[in-house]
Formats: sequence, C-alpha cells, structure tokens
Amino acid sequence: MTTRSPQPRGIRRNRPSPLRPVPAPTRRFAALGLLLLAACAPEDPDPGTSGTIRVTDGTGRPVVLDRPARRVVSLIPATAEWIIAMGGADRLAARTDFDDHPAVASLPSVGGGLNPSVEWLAARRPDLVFAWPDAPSRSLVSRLEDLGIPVYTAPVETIDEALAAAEDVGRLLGLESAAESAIAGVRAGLDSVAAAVAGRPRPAVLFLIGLDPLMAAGPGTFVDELIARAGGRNVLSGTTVRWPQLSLEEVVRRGPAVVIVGSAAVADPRAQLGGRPGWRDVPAVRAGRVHGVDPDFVNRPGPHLDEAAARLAALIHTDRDDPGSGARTGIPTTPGGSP
Amino acid sequence: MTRGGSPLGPLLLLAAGLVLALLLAVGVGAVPVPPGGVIDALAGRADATTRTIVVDLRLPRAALAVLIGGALAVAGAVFQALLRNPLAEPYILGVSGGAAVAAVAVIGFAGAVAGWVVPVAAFAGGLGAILLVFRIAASVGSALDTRVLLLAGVVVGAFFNAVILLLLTLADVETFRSAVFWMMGSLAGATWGSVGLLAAYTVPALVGLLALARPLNLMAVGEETALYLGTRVERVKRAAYVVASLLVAAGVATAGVIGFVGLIVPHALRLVWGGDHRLLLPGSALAGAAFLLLADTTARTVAAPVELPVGVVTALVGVPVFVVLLTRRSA
Repeated sequence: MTTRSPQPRGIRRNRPSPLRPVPAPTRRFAALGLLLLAACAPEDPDPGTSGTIRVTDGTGRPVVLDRPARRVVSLIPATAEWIIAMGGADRLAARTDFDDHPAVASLPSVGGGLNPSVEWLAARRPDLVFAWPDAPSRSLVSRLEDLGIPVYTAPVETIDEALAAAEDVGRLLGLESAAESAIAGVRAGLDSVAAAVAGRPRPAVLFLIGLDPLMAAGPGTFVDELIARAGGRNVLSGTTVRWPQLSLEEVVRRGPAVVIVGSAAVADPRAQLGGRPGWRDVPAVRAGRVHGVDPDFVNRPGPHLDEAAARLAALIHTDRDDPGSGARTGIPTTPGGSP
Repeated sequence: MTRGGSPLGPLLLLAAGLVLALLLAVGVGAVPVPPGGVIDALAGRADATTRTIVVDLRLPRAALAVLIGGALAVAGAVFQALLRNPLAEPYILGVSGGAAVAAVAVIGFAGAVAGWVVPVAAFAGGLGAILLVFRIAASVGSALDTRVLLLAGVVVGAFFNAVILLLLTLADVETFRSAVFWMMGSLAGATWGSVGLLAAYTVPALVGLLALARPLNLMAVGEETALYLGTRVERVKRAAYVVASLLVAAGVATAGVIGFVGLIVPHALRLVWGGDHRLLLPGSALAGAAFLLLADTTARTVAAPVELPVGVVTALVGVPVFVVLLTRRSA
C-alpha cells in the first residue's frame, strides 16, 4: 500500500529536511513485496484478473480502481512519458499539446491540459485521469470525481516525489514490474552521472526558466537536485522559494559561473543575456558559459531525468562551449541502466 | 419599450431569446451530440456518456449561467440606478476584491480543504468588503452619500487588489495557477448541488429587487423628488444595496468574477427600450441570463477541447456589440 501523508498545499516554504514524509525503505519494501508477488504470478498477468487497487495520491486522496486502468488520460506530460516508458502507450486515450512522443502523436489532444473541457474528457470514457493538482473550489479533479472518473494527482517537486508518483502510475496501470525497472533505470542513471562528476569542483549554477521576469529553479525542486547530481551547486541554495522571481542585482551578487536557460521562449540565451546591461559582469556571461536546454527535456520530471542530469553535467563541466564536449569530459550522455 | 407602453412585448421577446440560448447551450459542446441524442439523454434513454454530458455537465452549467447572468445584470442595473452612475457595475463596491482576497488566502494558506470552504470564504470576504465600504461611507455623513459610497468602493477595491497581488507574488507556482484560474471566473464547476444552493438564494433576492422597480424609477429622477413622492429613500437604498451586494457575493463565490455582464446588459436595454425599471429589471434578468449562456457556450466550444475563460468572451463579444448600440443611438 502506498501511503503518503497529504502535502500541505499553497505557499510552502522549503525546509532543509527531506520533503517526502514516508522514508524510502518503506516504499522499497512494498516494491519488493510486489516484485515477489509478481514473481509468483503468471508472466504477464491479465489486467482483468487482479483485485482492487488502492493508492493514496500526492494530495492525500485515495484512488481506488476495481482493476488496472485500461483507458487513461494524462493531462501531465511527465506522467504520459512514464506511462509510455512502462509500455502503456496503448492505454492512453488522449494526449496534450505538449506530448511529443511519436507513440501518442495520433491521439486526439485535449489542448494545454490546464483548462480542458470536462465533457470532452468524459467522452473519452477514461477509467483513470492524471491531472494537475488544482484549487479545492471549482476543481477539475472534483468535477471528474463527481462523474465517477477516478483521478490521480500529485504535486511533484522533487526527484523522489516524481519516482514515487511513477511507482503509483505503475500500480494503477498494473505495470508494476515495468515501473520498477524504469525507476531503477533512472536511479542507476542518476547515480552514474553523480559518480562521473564526483570529486570535481562544483561550479555555481543558475538555472533560469524565464528571462522576463527572471525566474529560476530554487532549492526543493527536482531541477535543483539535478544540478547537484550533475556536479553543480545551485547559486540559490540557502534561499527559501522553489521558483523565485529574481532581480538582476541578486544574480550579479551571487555571480553564477554557469547559467542554463530552460525556456521555449528564449531562442539564443547567450546573445540575449550578453546584450543586456548588468549581465556582462556576471562570470557566466563573461566566460560565455550561458547555455540553452530543451525545457521539455529538462523541466519535466519524467523517465528521462537521468539523461537530463547527464545533459546538465555536460554543460556544467565543460570549459569551452562545445556541444560535443560532453563526451570528452567522460560523462555519459546516455547513461546505462535504462531499460 | 415603446416608452410608457406595456413592458410585456419586450419581455416576451427576451424570454424567447433566453429559451433559444438555453437550447443552444444544452445542444452544443466540445463533444458533438445530435439533437436526438440530447432528447434521449433528457428522457433517460441515452448511453451513460451522453447522459453524463447532457444531464450532469451541460444542464447544470446552463442553469448556473442563467442564475449568475441574471443576477449580475440585475445587480448592475440596480447599482447604476442607486449610484446614478452609468459606469457602476456589480463589483463596484469591492465585492469581487474581498471575495478574491479570501479565496486566494484559503487556496494559498489553508492547506487541503473541502470543496465548499473556498466559496464560503469568498462569500464571507465579499460580505466583509461590503460592510467595510458601508462603514466608511456611513462614517462620513448620516445618510448614505452615493459619491462617498462610490469612492469608498473604489479605494477598498484598489486595496484588495494590492493584497491579491501581494499574495500572488508570495505564492508558489501551484497556488498561483489555482488562484489565477479561480479569479478568471468560470462556470465549469457547476453541479446540481451548487446550482440548487445558488437558486435558493438568488431567486428570492431577484424577486425582491424586481419589486423595487417603482421606487428606483423615482430615485433615478432624484432622491429629493423621490422623497417628496413618498418613497422612503434611505430604506429603499439600504435594502437595494444589501440585496444586490449579497446577490453578487453569492455569484462570485460560486463562479468567480465575470465582468461586463452587469455593465453592458442593462445599458443595452436602456439604449433600446429606455430606462423604466419596471422593464429594465426583469429585462436585465432575462437578457443577462441569455447573454451569459451564449458567452459560456462560445467559451466551451470555440477552442474546444480547451475552455476559454468566460469573462474573456463576455468582454470580447459584449463590448463591440455595446459600442455599436451606443454609436447607432447617438447617430
């Protein structure tokens, strides 16, 4: 049984303590039990024969299914990617505009996923919907529940939360063993990235998700954790807000050695920042160490978290700007262990 | 009207328009359902998905549009009469700001709460704003001075806006998104439960306001004249302010802030049929309901399966129509 106590909603301050209330060993033990069960069960159990599935989602709500979900709509691109990685692409009944995986390209799109038509969703006849956490009033989640459509929602901020949610996805779809190997692959990939950069100096990294206004990844986010795994030091460590809006003054004061911009709205971040007054004095800009990354790749806590960490490691531990230099630094760009 | 004539003709016309808008709202949506399917669903013969779409989603949503559209338009007409200000709209006394501050605070700070907490908090916030505005206005003179009331409403509204921006700046991404969606106004949350609750509250309030048509007619001429002609001006004013504000507060609590309905609909009716409140108030109820129904149907279908904020549609469609009416009238 997955048990996670309700996450406090709203204006949250990050604490240095672990954000996940349930210690990982409990989860691993549960996962081990599942693996043992799976080992006793037939090779690929028919989804219809399993019993009731009970999962507590990231907001503390129980999600109960009579059998593994067969028609699923995910409004969250990262969750859709996890489902595809677990071999469940054929269960998806719709996609969002941000789902670019070829396996789902032919599915009808619900749009951006934040404000979908409830009747359109109901007409897809899903037996499970993965939705963003939303306000307790006029909420899509409660609206779908009223219609008898189970909804799973999780506020994913950290890598552990992402992996825990992925484990829940596996349980809800009856794809536990595929989920376990996908998650194990990500963990192994992250570990190998961390091992490759171990002992190197840790440059100060600023990860921006937007330039106007300046918004950055603060502590308590999976991007912050990815920076750490990739052998960098988030310049915002020690601050309290997850996705703070920064002043240029603050950037200059903290003097990042590397600036990474993950925003689809910024085409050439080096030229953009280099042309702005004030930025010229930032070490990263002076050294030409401003890099753009595909936001769909790095900003999404999906099954490619390990590859995202490898990409960041390549950018953080490159002295010159050379897209191919990741190989020379000895950092695996496609980490092993992935299924 | 046919100034001075019977209001029956125009009202029948508006009622027919409302019925058409209702049929459209139930018949059209992000999922195409043929008219036969809609009738089957209403009769309980259709398959489960069609029944869900028509009976559980479109019908309560249409009913909510009728209630809130009617309430906003009537409240707008009443505020314009009471404040003798053509720019008065239902949120002019700070109701929306007070409601939004409370709602955003609950969304941001209260942790996981039951679904009814936010609307109740928003309603309380709206009431708090009204009390504050009246308190300020009453402390200036013995009688309610409309100019002071208006000013009090504007400054209290501005203050609440600042508080909302402050809360949003401090909020995390998730709260920010939820709060902005809440404030944009939407009828998507309609359930039979919320519709029933709002109807039990809105319908008597609307009837009460409609009964004030004659004194409002006299007060539109001037408070002094109304006094000479036997209207208990202060009592009418207080009753109308309180009832109209409560009406708006309940609407905001249920569906957030939906702009322009309360401003455009009464003015459009005045431009076409004149300012007699015996026609204007019931006419606003019917036309406001029809207008919001059409706006919401547009919001649901134009970009389907994405829903537009209904307030965007009321402004995008309502304002040009209103400008055309205005310029034709003066030409």
